[in-house]
Amino acid sequence: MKNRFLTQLSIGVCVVLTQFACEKESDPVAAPAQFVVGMEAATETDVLLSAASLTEGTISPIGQGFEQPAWMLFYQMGNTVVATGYSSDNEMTGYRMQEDGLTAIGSLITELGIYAVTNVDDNTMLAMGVTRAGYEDRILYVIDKNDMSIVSRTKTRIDERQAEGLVAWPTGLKVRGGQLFVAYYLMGSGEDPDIPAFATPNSNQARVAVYSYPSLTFEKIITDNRTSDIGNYTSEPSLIAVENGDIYSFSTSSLASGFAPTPTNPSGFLKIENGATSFSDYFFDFEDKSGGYKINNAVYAGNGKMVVRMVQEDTGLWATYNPKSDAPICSIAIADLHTKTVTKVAGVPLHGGEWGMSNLVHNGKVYLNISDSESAAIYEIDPTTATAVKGASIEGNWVKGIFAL
Amino acid sequence: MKGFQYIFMLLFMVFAMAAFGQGSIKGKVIDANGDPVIGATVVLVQNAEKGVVSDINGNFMLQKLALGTLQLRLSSIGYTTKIIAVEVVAKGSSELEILLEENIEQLQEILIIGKSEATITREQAFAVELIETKKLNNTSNDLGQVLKRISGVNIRESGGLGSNFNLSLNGLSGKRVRSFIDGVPMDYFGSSLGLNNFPVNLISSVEVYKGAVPIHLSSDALGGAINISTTNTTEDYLDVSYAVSSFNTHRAAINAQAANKKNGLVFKLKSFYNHADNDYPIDIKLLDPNTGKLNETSTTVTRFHDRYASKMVWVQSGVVNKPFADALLLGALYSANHKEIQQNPYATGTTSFPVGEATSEESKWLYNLSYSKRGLFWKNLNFKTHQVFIDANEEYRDVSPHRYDWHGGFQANVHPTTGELGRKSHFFLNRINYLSNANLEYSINDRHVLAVNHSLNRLKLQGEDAFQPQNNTQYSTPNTVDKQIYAASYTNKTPNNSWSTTFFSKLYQYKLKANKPDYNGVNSNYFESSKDGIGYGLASAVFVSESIQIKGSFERAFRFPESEELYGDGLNIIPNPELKAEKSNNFNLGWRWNHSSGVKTYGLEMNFFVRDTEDYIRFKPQLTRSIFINETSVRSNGIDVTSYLHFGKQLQITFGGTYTNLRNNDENSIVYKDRLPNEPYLMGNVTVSFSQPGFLSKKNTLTVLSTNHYVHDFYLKYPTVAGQGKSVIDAQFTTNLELIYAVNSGKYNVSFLVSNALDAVVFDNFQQQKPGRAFGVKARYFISK
Repeated sequence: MKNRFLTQLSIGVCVVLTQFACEKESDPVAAPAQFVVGMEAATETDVLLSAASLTEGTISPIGQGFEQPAWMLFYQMGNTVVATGYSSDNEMTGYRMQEDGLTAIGSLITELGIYAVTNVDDNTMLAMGVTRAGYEDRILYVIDKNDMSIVSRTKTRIDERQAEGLVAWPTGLKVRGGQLFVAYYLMGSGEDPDIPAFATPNSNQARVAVYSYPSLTFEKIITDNRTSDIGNYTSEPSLIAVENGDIYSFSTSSLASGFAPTPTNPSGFLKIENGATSFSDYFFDFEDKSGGYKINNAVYAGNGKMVVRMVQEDTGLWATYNPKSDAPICSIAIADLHTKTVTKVAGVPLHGGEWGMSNLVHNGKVYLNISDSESAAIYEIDPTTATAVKGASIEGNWVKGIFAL
Repeated sequence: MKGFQYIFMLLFMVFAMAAFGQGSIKGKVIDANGDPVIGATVVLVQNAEKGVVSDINGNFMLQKLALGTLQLRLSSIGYTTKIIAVEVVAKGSSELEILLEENIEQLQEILIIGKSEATITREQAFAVELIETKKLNNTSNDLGQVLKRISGVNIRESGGLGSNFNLSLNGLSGKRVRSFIDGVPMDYFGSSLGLNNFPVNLISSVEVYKGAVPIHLSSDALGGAINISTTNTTEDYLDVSYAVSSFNTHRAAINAQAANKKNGLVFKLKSFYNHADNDYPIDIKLLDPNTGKLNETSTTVTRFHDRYASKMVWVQSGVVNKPFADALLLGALYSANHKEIQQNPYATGTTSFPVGEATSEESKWLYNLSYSKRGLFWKNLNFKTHQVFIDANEEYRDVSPHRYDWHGGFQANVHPTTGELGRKSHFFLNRINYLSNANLEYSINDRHVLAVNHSLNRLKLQGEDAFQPQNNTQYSTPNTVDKQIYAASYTNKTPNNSWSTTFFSKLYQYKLKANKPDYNGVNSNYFESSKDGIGYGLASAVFVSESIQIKGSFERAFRFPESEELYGDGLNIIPNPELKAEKSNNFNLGWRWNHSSGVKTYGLEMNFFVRDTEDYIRFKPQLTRSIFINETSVRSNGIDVTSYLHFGKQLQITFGGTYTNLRNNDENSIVYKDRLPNEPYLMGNVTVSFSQPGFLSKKNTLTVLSTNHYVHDFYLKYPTVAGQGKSVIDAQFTTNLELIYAVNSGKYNVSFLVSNALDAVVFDNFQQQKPGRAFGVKARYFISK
């Protein structure tokens, strides 16, 4: 009798405990999924989770995925998705798809905030740390992705101009052959009272710093006066390698992309040909060919096609940095690098921009975050036909990264 | 202890000064143990307006009495009322010693010392819990630790003395719960004077209002209030204490008063000095500076840049018991503090790069004028006002180019142009505050009391930063907030005092002018906002039997955002002048029961509460971009329970527990019905105290006290968002042990405290470790005449 009571009691306790446990931790993701999405939930918490499909259904962070410690930027570095942000420190965590699903493989702490990264090979990635004000060393971190540890640090100021009150802010890193190319823009350090931090009084020029790789010694700065500073704050990598090894860069010349005063040179693409360490004669005047649009961000879809997020109404400073915009100004176009033509993608509504442009190039299609104050969804873009189809809905503010592992 | 017998606290102002006779009565009220009964009401049966209250030595004196036989009614909460006949003789006074028998059944009725009966009546209907700090004056604990024992109260601290401090009451926290010192909102005393550093010795009582708050506490407290009453008698006294404890913590306090009985002049001095190094050990995973990896195992390091010092001197002078004023006091207060910053206070977790040089400090001058008069123009009309002017200067400095590590060492000039917490900052902020409160109270008779209250609060902020243009733009021209609250209340009680109800209504007015810097921090837009709102409510209390009382209240309340919420702190909290006012419907229902048999007393008290809040203002900690935001709808309901068991006066066991369901209540939100993040919701405490009177000597008492506190674990972020790697603030269980020895009836006291006696590793905030076991000793000397 007593035993039976005890059994019942213990069952009862177990049930209660299980319920508590359920409330506390939801079940881990059951089956490994191919797609991974980093998103900002409606609560402004960032979550990294697996998604069964990008083209249908709803991707929800409720009970799913890894809670992120802070406002993060997400990147795919080969087989590793990397999340960087600052909570108590600047933290970078690597995630890989393993047998039991998405798994955090390790974290590291950097003394400076990371604003540009690039994948080098299966083992190595590079990351550039920057201070948000002042005249200070930037740090190039060489990172071992397998255990998420720092292999080495190289300090550089890239292109510091104290006489003008300006410092270099990296927007894209690219290793090709024996060189590392670092695209950057010049912005106010905040040290000169007349030049506030993030002001861009001298941006009517495209600049790339060239370092030898792997020694990471500074070689030179190359410039081009036909367009403006390359990339923008937290932009998609502004140096994009295509199939033949040529590197293309994009320049926004855009107030809405964070340049004030607005550069007067047109927004467009430049090229550094394979094997060269200077800009070629190539210039694609996007602003002219598109009928007045400026590039905000661009990703390469293959076969000479760039998928471009662009703005026409360039009147609000930082206006593209608003994925929950109630007055969206961004649209999508396909820019053909060979024919220098711009085709607006049908089927994508005007939407808010992002910090960068979350994207995935997968099986010839490009998946993008399209969001505004009302909703967020992943759109599937076909670069060959310049058409788009609305894919999975997002239960959250916006998608900060779309990956296939 | 013999020979000083004067009038100390007047309950009823004897406004009609006509002298009917020349006799007087002196006496002393004592209990069965011979201990003085403090605050006993002594009134003439023939003329209930003629009365006094016994002082802290049990003494009382009635003057200008008609000669002949009079009847005195002596009553005190917890004692059986007694009527005695006294012969008043000419030229001279009758000296009496009157024994009151304890009436344990009544012990739980509230005692509020030093207030008019109308005020007491008015407050009876509110859910108020009173801590009399007389017994606590010898404790080495600070007030925060004392408040923690009240069910429904929880206190979160990020570290040691002077660290960030947040009190929650029935699930509402932050600025929703307002604290007052003698009716003046405590925020305006600034960071140098708060619940976490206010010495217990300077306090006579603390009232904790759960839910609806009486209108004289003139603030838009939405979640309840705490009012600290400082000592307010007309006797001479000197109370000096000094405490020393672990981590080089020193606290000294002086509370003194000199009063001239003849001309009514009084002089009051309150002063304290607090210092702590806060160099307590914490366990952290150290950073490998080469690989950027945190060690797998923890290392114990000591905090090295967390020193805190605060000081205050407050002198008040004026007259008491004059025909034109019960009290008219002018005061000046100077306070200052200096605080080292060990890491960003709003970081989630412990940083790998501790701050080694950044500091914040504040200095402040406060001038106060307070006036009160019972029987102004008419005998049933009471008037009370205070005017406060505050001029405060704050300074933050974060300019060091060095990068520190947890061993206290640093690499020099690593970041020559940025500070340790972010962009370099050397920020000065001037805060001018003018507060005014006026209260009129009219008793139609014993059963009906009317009151009106007006309060005004004007704030002006202006400042400059040597480095950050954002701050210069925000504060270059004054940012202002004006708040006014007009309130009225009516209180009704039944003749036998068993049922009392207060109806009240408040009109809130709010006006704000602020600068709004743009992204570059250079250009500014002007932002102006003007709002008002009407709040109302009622509070009622009824004794359904001698041992059961039921209390209930409802309030429609407003709360306009406060300075810090609107304008940030110039360092880590960014301004959000567009914050909307919180609006809330608050319900409280509670009952208390007690029973005694022989020396044993049992009691049980339960309060249920519901708070339905629109535009709930929530703090979002995110380092140097921390901000206050509005949540569309939040609902909190819950219960707090207190039960106690007393075996006479010697052994007392008290249990308090609170469960709060604080959840998002916005139907359109994905976290609808989810618990609000970063809010503890289940907590409890058990206090066991054992007293041995006559320990070693007849007049000495030894008390052993054990206080145990538990807080259940809770999530840092919304619980249902994400499923892996969720940040949890672990459950906390701490025990404090204390030994208090009072010598010579409390003239000399010494106490020993072991806080966190089990050396538990506790975190109130995510991964920010609090002090482990610490030892303290406090000595106190108290004399009055």
